[in-house]
Amino acid sequence: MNFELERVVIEQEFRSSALTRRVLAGLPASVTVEYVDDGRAATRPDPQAADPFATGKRRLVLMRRRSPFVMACPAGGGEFACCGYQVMALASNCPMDCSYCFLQEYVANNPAFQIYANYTQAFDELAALTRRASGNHLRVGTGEWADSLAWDKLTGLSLELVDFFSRQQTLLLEFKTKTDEIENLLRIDPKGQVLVSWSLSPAAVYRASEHRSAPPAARIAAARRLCEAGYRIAFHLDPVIAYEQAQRDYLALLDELFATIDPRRIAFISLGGLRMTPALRTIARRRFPADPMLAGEEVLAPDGRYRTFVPLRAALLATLVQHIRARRADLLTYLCMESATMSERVLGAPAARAATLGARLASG
Amino acid sequence: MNSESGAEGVIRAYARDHHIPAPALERWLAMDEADALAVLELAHALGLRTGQLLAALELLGDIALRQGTGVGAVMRQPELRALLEASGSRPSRASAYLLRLTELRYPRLHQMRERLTAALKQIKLPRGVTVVLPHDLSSDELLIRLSPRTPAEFDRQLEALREQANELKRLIAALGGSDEF
Repeated sequence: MNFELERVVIEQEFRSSALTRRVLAGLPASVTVEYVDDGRAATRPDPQAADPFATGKRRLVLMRRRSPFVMACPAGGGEFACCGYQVMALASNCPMDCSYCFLQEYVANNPAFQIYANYTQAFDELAALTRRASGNHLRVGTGEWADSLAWDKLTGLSLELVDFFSRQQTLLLEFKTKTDEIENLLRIDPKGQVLVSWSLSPAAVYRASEHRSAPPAARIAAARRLCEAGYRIAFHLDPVIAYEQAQRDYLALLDELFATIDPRRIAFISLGGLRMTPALRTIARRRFPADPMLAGEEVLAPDGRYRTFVPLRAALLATLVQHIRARRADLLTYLCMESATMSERVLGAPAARAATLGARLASG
Repeated sequence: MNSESGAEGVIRAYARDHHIPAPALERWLAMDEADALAVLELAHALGLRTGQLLAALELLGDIALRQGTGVGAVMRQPELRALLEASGSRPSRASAYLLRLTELRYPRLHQMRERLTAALKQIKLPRGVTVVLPHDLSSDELLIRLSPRTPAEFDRQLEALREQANELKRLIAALGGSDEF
């Protein structure tokens, strides 16, 4: 993945860490490097910039994370049918620039890339989480506030993560990505404890909205290689965008996926309709005024987000689930950030409890 | 647009007089000159109030983006030209124009709402029973309201609902995406 970094800021305490050495070794000579005691100020937006979010993506801060690394997925809770996902924050923001990405709003006040150099503390938190879970299987992902693999050529963190998780009995690591950056992963044996998942969209969405990401075919090809290397693999059709030709294109995408990868080798497929808060929608449309995917038939839904009106969204999601099940009836599917009613309508059965679904997703 | 004294100047003057917010003016001025002037002509022809003009700018821009064309091309569509040139008061023509723009902006939502509204009209229910589709079909909840004034009326309303239960269930299923109508 090509970065457009101009500046790297490193907190002094990590000046001689192995992570810092790897990052510095991978940077182009044109990137300036500076050391500071506290990197937080360097994560802030540039108020003079025409597009502070994009400008933030030219700055990388290697810093201490000052809050917990591991927590329950913020999309969980009573509002939506929940999959029991645990998130591990090792980085913040993403070098890709998808027009619909929630990070445009979520990290608007600190848009610089952050990589947390004290990441080994996450392993202690995971050990505590395992003890609290009393033998229940948990799925822990690094792809909530950053793409899991976008930085991996630079940081090499995947090697340490896979090593840690390969020694766990009840924890499954999920790398979630839109890249095909899998070279590090191919060097190590995950011993069944690592799953790599790809967000997949039809080519039309990729071309219009998923800037700097790998093409869908490259993502599928990377998935196949990792599957053959012993990784569990999964896919997220998320966001599903209900543009005029969406049904045709998403079905063709699934056909392409199943033609490349045996559906029996896929751990699960999640689906979720496009959703945007009013603030995110405003930001996204200002940054990407020519993206037709942002001008769909979304209306303000009861949860305060813009979503495709219900009959269209439900019908499209149900059609995709039927298509998946026609290829493999027991392939695990679930909806992300949709109500329990929508889950039942689309999946044909009441939504499972978060803990139950979470354990199924984690244990395969 | 590059002439402060030409088209741009005229539009800026209009925007100043009508308190058009800067972001909307920016979008307006970003159009081709002919398209921008066509919007101005629309505003004059229909006597658009500020809120209506802002809605028109947004709807026209979105329709053009969705159709892969320009705002001027959208405005030249025969049905919109006909609305512009129709008889009637300017406020009623402005309302009709904006309503049609909204339908063009959300074509499948419009079609679905028309189908569901037609299906709802076919369901015979007594006075005091109201069935309301969700606003913008943004939820899958069908609101059914009973307003009985006497116990006997309440019984009649319940009975009527029971008689129409299958039709109402079809409506609820259609709201949830099934191809009922």
